[in-house]
Amino acid sequence: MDLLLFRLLNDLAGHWPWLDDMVRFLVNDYVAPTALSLALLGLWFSGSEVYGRRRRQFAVVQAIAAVLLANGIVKLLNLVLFRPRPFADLDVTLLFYRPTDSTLPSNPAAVAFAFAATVYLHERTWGLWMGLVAALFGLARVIAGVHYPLDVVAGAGVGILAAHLAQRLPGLGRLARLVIYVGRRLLLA
Amino acid sequence: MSLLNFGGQFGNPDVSPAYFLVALAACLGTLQLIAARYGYVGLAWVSPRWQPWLGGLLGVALVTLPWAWFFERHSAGIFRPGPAGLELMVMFGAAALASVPLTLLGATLIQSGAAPRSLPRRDGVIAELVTLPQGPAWLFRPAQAGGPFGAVCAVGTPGAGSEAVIPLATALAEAGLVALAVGWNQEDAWRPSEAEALQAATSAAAFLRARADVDALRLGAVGVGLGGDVALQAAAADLGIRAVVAVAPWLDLANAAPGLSLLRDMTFPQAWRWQHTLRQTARQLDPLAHARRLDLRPVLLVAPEDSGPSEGARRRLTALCRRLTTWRVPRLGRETQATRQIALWLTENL
Repeated sequence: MDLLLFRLLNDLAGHWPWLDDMVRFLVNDYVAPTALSLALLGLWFSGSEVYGRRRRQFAVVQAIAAVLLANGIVKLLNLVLFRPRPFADLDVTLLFYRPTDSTLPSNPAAVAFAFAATVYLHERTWGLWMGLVAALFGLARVIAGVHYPLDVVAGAGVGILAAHLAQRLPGLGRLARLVIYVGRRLLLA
Repeated sequence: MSLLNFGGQFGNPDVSPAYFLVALAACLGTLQLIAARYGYVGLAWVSPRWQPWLGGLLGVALVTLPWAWFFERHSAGIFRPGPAGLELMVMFGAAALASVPLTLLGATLIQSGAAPRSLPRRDGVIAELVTLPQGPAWLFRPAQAGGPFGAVCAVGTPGAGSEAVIPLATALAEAGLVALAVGWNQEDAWRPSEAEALQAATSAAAFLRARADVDALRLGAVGVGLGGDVALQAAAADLGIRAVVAVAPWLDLANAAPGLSLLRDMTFPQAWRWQHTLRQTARQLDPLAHARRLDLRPVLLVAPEDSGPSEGARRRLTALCRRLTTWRVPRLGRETQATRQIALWLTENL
């Protein structure tokens, strides 16, 4: 099933230059992560009602923690799990460079979904838009031939798990309150 | 050459410095979008009160154009193994941190003294600078001959200057009223006490009453932010003020430590200097304690959904003022429609 879906999506690459350009625009290490990070910056400053803004700023601090957590979980999983990239075993149309680390779970998907899921827990609308970016990022990774669909799904699972774990991280609430307090004193929160 | 020239083999494969610049520009653009969307004067490189769409356009340009350059110039490096995810996060964090002081500095430099230069020109409205005992103020009056006209004293948040109330004062003059936009942005009056703030409002009312083109029996007051509290309290003390409009007043101390909210009214240096005595002045100004004196006079409370007084304070004001009307508006800063409606309401109630 995973292989079938991979074939279906990767076969889209290499036929239409506009689609290849779009996939390359999304698949690289810069655009989607930066867009999600910009969303966090926007979230921090958005709104002019004090309590709503505090909730969003709390989400920003938690999202940063969730991303670090997701990264850590993927690194730990990679110590015990190694799945070769699709281009190592199959004849694929590759639209990206050849990463050498394990393909499962997808680290970019884990990070992107950690961003989106954490924000979704606090701000539904922002979270849904960020989730869309994360989903397109994951989809582009499959079409570009650097991940199997299962890798992206597993990565998304890790990201969502990290978002929930970050909510329960001891001391994070206190840290967030401190950061927001300092920000307010500096007129930036 | 295609804008997304991914196959290009030129450019420096090490994209880190270029990425930092792109991230910095994107952060600056995001802050401009936020400033335009939420009306943050202290963050905006284009005053959100005059041209909100231009601020939004600047934001979009700063976010998108550097990316086009990045892909055009560095496509070779982008599609090679580059910085690790964590390194990118650190670079983005550094860019975001750098963007904040740059934004504040830019907003301060660009907007310092912007109000007198960019007074909105409207047909049928004459704007002139007048001098009150507390300092200069902008007077807006209908250009047509005749009168006497009803008059309104428009008060901004102390320390924020008169910029916040100038669009409102202009709309009032368009509606056929004489409006005096009072601010406190002089160096020697940075932190007016409650008494000084009320005295300024009283001086403004006296100035208007003394004018030949003003009908002294048709005098109103309007205030924005903490200026709303000043307007309410001045009206409570002056029975000659027939109607009051308070736009997003504080009313109680729940809003007295607004942090970033101050940047909606003023630039960062102004806010930094003002915040230290903000609580004190807000505590001294207690319009709810005096609101009973407004009694049967018409009072309009304009409460933006994303700011303004707390629910409890609103209820207390409702209980004290029998002719209180409350309008909920989506947000403050870009509501030209609300500005016109306020002008219409004052015309009808003076």
